[in-house]
Amino acid sequence: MPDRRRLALVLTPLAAALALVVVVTIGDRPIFEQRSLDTGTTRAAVAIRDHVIPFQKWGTKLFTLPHLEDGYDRVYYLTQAGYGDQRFELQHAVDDALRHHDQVDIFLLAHGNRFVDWIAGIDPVLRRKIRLVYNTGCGGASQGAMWLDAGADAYVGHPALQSVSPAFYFFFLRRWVRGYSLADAVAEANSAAARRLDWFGLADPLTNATAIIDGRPDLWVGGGVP
Amino acid sequence: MRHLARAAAWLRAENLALPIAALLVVVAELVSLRAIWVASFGPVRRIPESADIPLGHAVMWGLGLAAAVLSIVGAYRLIRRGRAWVAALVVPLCCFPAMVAGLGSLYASLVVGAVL
Repeated sequence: MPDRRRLALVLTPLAAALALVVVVTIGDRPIFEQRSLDTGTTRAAVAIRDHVIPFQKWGTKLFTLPHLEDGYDRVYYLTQAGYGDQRFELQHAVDDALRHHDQVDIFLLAHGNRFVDWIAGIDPVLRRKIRLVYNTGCGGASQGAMWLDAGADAYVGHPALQSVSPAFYFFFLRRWVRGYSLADAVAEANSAAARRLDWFGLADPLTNATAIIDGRPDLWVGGGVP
Repeated sequence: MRHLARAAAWLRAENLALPIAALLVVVAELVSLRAIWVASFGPVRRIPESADIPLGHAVMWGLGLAAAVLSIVGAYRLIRRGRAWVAALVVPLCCFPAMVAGLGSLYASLVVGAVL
């Protein structure tokens, strides 16, 4: 049956290619480094995941840690094992990062939180080296002024009270560590997340993934603060 | 045992063994990933912290690759040698979802591994 053989040789690769297209379309396109991160400054990232189900803790670590290690000289990654856990560790990690690096970014991968209070004990002069704070918490956008007062140059938070921030975070972190400006990384992540939520019928004004920037939108992972 | 042997022979004769094996591998991958996240962040930690990420990638690569290969070869054999109506039913309903899961697993590993 030569026709069946030819049909199989054509249809099978087509199906595999279509499967790959589906995967990349639902997920995200490959993103390669946009510019060299070797800017002569040292930078550290501090990330904390709150006490959630094991799948979320593991998934967050699986995704976050390699990306942060890709874009920073040193990464401090913490996972809470209970409500209020890791308070001393977070303060110590931020303090240590500030003492040993030129710029420090903080990733608060947690539901509604007040981590801003946890770093209040750190020397205010040191805190001026905090560059970006990203907070996944629902309604976290309201903490922008607090974090800027605490010393951050820019703060990214979600205004929605039931924010679907993981959808945003997936697209945002990949772009941020690859050298996009903060403004571009946030804009692209907002649009990519909104598109996916729309496809799956999850788009809603009260449960969106949109994030907004307070402070300097011109930052990028390699620098941005004179 | 005789029933099982007869069922296996029928699956082979209808070229359904590979597509079904591909689906089973997809299920095995989900079960394995669940075992890893429970072992790492469940009530009691059963694996070292340093194993959380490599184990996840090992499962995504190993079983993802197996699911992709089985589903692709299964689709090829079914289209080439299977009954036309069986192929028309099984390729889109069984082989294609397994391809999406298998290739998706490989792609996800590269994406979350900060390679792509």
